[in-house]
Amino acid sequence: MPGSTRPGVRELQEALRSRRLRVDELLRSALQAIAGSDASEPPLGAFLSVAGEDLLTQAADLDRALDDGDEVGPLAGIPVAVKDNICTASLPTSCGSRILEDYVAPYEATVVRRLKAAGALIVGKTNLDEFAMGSSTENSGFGPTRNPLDPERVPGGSSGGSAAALAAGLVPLALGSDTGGSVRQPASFCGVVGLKPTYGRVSRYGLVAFASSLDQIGPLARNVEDVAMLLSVIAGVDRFDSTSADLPVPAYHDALGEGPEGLVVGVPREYFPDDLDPGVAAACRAALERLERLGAEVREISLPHTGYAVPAYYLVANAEASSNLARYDGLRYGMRAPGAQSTIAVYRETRGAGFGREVKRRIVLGTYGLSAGYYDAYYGTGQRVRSLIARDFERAFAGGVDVIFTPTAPTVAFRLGERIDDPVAMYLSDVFTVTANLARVPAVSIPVGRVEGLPVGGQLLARQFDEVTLLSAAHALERAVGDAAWSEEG
Amino acid sequence: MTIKRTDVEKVAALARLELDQAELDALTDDCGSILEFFEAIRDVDVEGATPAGALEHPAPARDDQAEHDRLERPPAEMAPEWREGYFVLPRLPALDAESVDDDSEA
Repeated sequence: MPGSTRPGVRELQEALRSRRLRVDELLRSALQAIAGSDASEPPLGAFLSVAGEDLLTQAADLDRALDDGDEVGPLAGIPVAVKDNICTASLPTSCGSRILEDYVAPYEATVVRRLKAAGALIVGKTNLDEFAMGSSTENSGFGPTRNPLDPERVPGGSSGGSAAALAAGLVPLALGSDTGGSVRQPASFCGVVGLKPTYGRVSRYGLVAFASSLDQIGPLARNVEDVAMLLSVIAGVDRFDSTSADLPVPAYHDALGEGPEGLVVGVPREYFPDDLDPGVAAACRAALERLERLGAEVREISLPHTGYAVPAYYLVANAEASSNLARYDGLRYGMRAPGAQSTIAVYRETRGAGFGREVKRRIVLGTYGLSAGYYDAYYGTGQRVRSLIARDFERAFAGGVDVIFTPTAPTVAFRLGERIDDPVAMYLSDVFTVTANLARVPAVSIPVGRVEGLPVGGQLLARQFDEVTLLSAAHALERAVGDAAWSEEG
Repeated sequence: MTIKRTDVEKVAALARLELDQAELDALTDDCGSILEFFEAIRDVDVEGATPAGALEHPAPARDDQAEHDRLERPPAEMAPEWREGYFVLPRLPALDAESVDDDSEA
């Protein structure tokens, strides 16, 4: 099954360093697997663009360095997929939108520069809901991504291409972005690990802005150690992002503990409502019992404003999105509507033709919420409720819990088309993930079981900038769950 | 919190978004049901709650010195036309006198 048998990054590094495996061989096999995934029927649709010949040259350089025993970076020769809303200079950055089709950024995101400096090979850009707005990857302007575990189901979103690429075994590491759960929910649906770091832990320079106070780039992989390794490479202050935190970056993968003895795990009752999918609830309860048996203390807690998180999130996110997306005017980026007869017509017609339905919906709602007479009732109220949600978390952690455990999503992966015409149902897919973005705390999704063959993700959350505790707890949970992550019993 | 078709039309104009009649109808329905769902937030007692505050660990301010652009390729390669240090755009009809009214209305 995905994740349980495929080599992790440490095994690949050892194979490359011992020269049992060559970078060129690993890269060609990833590129072939990507091509094969789209040649199948139906196509997986995980990638929007794939690297070419220049990457083979980089691989050859790395092979020469490894042959000579030279010092190489921590991710030397490891293929990495990057979500297509993160700027790369050698591949297009479409954001899954027709308005940016074929757009190539004039600069690289800080995370991409750091990956390259670490020796990683950026093999391609992954599919997403247009401008990261969605929970299924069906909103991409270039067709949906399918879930490799059941092609009739969605991979989640908006980082669905990255999660699907991992679950299908095309790459060992991927980057996504998470504004309201866009790394964690697809990780849950595809049975992989996905982390949203604390807001400010990773530079957003070069991440195409959706909702600037919520957006954060996050790593995805098939196990916690690989996620920790990728975070260690991309995290840290960046002079090009004033919201990046000026704090030291530990070697997260070296700080992973062994077991959960003494760990205090808070379980908020609001995240286990009566209408939660019974299979999801059972898998999460079983995971908690395993942690408890291994010495963790599991304590029920309350996060009382949870029920208002989805409206608060969408009021804030849509307002920020409508402002951020104003820059796509037909002049500065990508497509321009032909034949427009005035400046305003260029703007209107380009945006009308270039944006998809969900993006238009959010621009209308966001603009409405920021307009005179509504600002305080919508954006202002959303921001006040946001601070109450953040206070709920502060109180829970002050009360002595080390981490908080919840389901990542209320259901397993749903069917393609099932929610696409019901925006409220789609928004409720994010009910357990948006709170971490609103409160700026780090959160990670880990596979904890299966329902009818489909993965269930459990989510852990920790204090701001305490990714060490978060990833240690995640590592302990991963070991506690063990092979049960791939079984129906959880 | 309800939204009428005329509200959607007005907001779309403010957001510079061209919508056809079918899109206007669909967006009015969608936005109506979404705003109805958002109604729940009115139950929250926000008395005394302040909007989310400033970051605790912002990046340090840079020295106030000019730096080279961090571009991966020269600007001349980024636009269809580049002349004397400027990007050249098609002349927009709005610059012509007859289009001025259109711009000032919106």
